[in-house]
Amino acid sequence: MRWFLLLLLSLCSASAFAEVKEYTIVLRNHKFVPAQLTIPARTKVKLLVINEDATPEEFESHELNREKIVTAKGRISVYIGPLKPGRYPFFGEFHMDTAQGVLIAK
Amino acid sequence: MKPSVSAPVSLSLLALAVGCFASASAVAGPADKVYKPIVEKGETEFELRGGYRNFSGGPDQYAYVFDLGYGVTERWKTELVVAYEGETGFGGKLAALEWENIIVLTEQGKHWADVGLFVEYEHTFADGPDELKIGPMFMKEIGPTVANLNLLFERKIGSGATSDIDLDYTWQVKWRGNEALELGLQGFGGLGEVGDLGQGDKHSIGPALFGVKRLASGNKLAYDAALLAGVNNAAPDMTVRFELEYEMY
Repeated sequence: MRWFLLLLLSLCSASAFAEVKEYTIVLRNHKFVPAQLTIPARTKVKLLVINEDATPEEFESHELNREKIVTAKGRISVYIGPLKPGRYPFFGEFHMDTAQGVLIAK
Repeated sequence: MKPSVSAPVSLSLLALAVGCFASASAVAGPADKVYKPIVEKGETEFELRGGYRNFSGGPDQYAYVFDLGYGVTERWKTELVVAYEGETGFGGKLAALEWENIIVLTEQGKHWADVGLFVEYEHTFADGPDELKIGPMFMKEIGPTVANLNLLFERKIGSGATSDIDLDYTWQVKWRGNEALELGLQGFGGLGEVGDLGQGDKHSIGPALFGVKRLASGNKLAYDAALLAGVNNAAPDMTVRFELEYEMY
């Protein structure tokens, strides 16, 4: 049992004390602002998504393997990476016609 | 707002839950699945799972499960499950009512691996004791690959129950590509009774398909299916399993 608990602790503590750079994206009128964001490649980052709209949205990206609901007037944090250099599109599931964005890792 | 649960506190809860449970020998059912430590707050899920497995030394088994789930918070999803199962030549019947809970212990992507806790109480309609299943869920992303592992400690509860605790497992590895059709591997099995692991163990492994279809309504239809081969004599010779999930917010 001790080995099991040590394994759990090591799985989760490896990055617990590492500093993660934070970036902010705002949802306004069902659009991401900014719609394009550059982040460092091969580095874990924290994306703060702030929803200024009066309706919920789902931040989603198949390329980033993330989907998370952000409530109306709410905010979420999304941990991303480390990513290889490249373009990683994301979108708002509930307003796909307008809520489109892309992360550029370089 | 998201509850603020730190990793050390989360791990303490997990350790307490697993520690309180420590020793049963059950086999993964044909309709079992791989659970993920992810919850979408406010999302409702309707899920149909099914499976069929072939034994060379006995009747074949089949099972279907209907599941209704809801993300109560960003950290907790609860599901009500009805299970129907049977054996060829003997017919099928409603077998159990289950209450499943997924508790997310770490934020996705924050740590080296994502960790959650699975807790299920199963009330059987047949004579005999009910069952409690509890265990950790792990998820790890490596590039375009996502790996999941569930460990399930199982103990009978109620009249006729023994103090034995079995350890079962499920796992999968998925290569992310086209979201409509992705390839991977799945494995299901049991390691036997805690304290005597390796005795009566059963292992099945095989290729799996995964996919998601986005609907115009904003809802989603997700599926996965696998064809599993038994890798030792105690395991079913072959298992076919599938899962269909409708997600709405």
